[in-house]
Amino acid sequence: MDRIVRVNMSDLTTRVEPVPAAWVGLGGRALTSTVVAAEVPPTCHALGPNNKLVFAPGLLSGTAAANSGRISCGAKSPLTGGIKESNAGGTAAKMLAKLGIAALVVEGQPAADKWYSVHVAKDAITIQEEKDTVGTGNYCLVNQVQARFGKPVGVMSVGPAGEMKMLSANISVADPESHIRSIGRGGLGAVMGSKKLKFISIDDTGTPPVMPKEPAKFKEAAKIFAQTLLDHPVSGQGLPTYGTNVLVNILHEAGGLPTRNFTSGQYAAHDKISGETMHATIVARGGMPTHGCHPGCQIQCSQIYNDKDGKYLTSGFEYETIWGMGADCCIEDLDDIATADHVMDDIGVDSIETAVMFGVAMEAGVLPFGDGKGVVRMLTEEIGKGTPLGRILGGGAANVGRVYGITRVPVVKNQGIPAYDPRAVKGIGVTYAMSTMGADHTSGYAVATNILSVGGHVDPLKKEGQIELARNLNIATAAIDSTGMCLFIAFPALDIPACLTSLIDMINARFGIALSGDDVTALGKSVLKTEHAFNIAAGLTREHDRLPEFFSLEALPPHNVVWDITPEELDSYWNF
Amino acid sequence: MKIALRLYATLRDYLPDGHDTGVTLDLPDGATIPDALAVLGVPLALAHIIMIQGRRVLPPDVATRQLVDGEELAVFPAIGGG
Repeated sequence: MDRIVRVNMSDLTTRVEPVPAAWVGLGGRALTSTVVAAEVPPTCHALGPNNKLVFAPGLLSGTAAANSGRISCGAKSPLTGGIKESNAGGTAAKMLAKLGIAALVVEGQPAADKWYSVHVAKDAITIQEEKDTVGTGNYCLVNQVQARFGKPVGVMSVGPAGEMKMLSANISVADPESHIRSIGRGGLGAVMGSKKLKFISIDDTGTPPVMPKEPAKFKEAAKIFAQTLLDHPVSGQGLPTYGTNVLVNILHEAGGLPTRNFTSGQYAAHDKISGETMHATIVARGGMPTHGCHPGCQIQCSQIYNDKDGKYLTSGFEYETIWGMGADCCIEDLDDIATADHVMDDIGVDSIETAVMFGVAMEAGVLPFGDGKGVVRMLTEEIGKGTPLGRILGGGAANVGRVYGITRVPVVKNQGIPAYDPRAVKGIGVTYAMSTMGADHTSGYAVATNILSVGGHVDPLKKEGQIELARNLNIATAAIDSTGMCLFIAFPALDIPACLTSLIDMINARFGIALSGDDVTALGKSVLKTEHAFNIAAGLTREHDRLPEFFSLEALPPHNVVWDITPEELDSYWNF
Repeated sequence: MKIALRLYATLRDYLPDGHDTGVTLDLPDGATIPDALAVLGVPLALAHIIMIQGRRVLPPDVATRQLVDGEELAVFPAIGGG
């Protein structure tokens, strides 16, 4: 991976450059954040010509390393106003890596009101004007694009929401079955839409496999690494069997399952939407309870969920989506939630932001709590079609809260808080407050140690130890996000020492270098510091590193706990 | 005394027929968590996460913590997500 591809949407030109010396050794999030910090003015309008959209496979993407197929995407976020990295599975990371592309940087903005696509192949990078695909949903679009090329090319696209530059718009990534994975958070689909870029197609035909500098060492390390994924009970058994949605019941039992727009920590109908129920439903309908989101995924936590007639309805049906539409919006029918998930993928909106938004909209009286059919209708008829109400809803939870005068709005830096109530799972609350990404559970998944007994145990209801826990996890995650690895390797990495050492051995063998564990930690710290500096320059102060006031005012049943970590304690997070 | 025992994920295989999520157990005073699990034959080694009234019981206390009439015991194998 020795090339940077630049696509200039202002003059519709492309350019290929060698990776600058300062960026050698960076991949994934480390590279997207470095490029954004170096080249995007922090105070620019995120939807204006000075923002840049950066796609980067990870350091190990394209190799035989298990679970190394995540694609990172970065830009200034129109939702948070700060730097953003969001990553997804699909086939794009592997293809870009095989093409030798370390990063694809989309710059500028067309003057004319025309839409375009970019095709990336071995010998050429071309820009085409798009007409027929404009307005198309992501599912149909992937089929159209792959039919156009007559092969399963990689596709990264925006749906109607991205075209309309909604703050909840995501970027879809085609998976091996031509279904949808999502670069979900922070409104990156709006950035892509602002550049009038409907999709990027990738054809890796004619490219050899990515070969490590030291193949024998790489093979040995990859074998050990893969074994640790199998050996750990979470990555080897729990996730493949039930997917991420197994968390509904444990968060309910722990009193940390945000319910009815964050007014309770338990949901009476939890079993109707649980991973156990979903697993049984999938099996009964002939779906696939285990499925990988990208080539080489060994954990296989995804699934294919069929409707009552046994026809495909959705895949990658994740806990956070099911929690949001289920407990937070009180929708008990898993089929309604699956239908909503399908529509969200198709129109291209983040399922976390949108679910949190609907919880706020329900509190505002826009529709009743529990109205699953109403949610599907509003997704399809309002947001998908860009009606005035749809534009308000598509602006996300913070936007709806402002418009309707709601004070219980669970967001940090305007980004919706996912799936774990910070009052009852305080470690993740620190991550929500301090993450450079806005409220983002994946940036430092303290739930592992607070609730799941992975990496030890820190009492979720007490504030002792939470700052240090969140800080360490955010540093480690920034490093993992730079490798192209799925975040779920963190489960074995926290418990089995050989997981982390073999991961480092793979990176060293891949590039012929000699990183130590301390070097990897230093990389994570460096990524966070770079992102933090960008955010400060963009106007995000320490006062933005706080949870909404209602978490301190309203006690959460059943434990009747409030958010009690002080601003001073939160600020100590950055003492590294 | 009576306690409610709820099992999750793969541990539900240990539930008797007709019980989808859990059972009510009638136990002698002073019974412990292992005593409750033994009624259904759940191996203690598979009980990775144990909660009473929504609060974790950690390994040092699992063997000795005596159950109290009316308590709710929730038991999970190793699971994760995110």
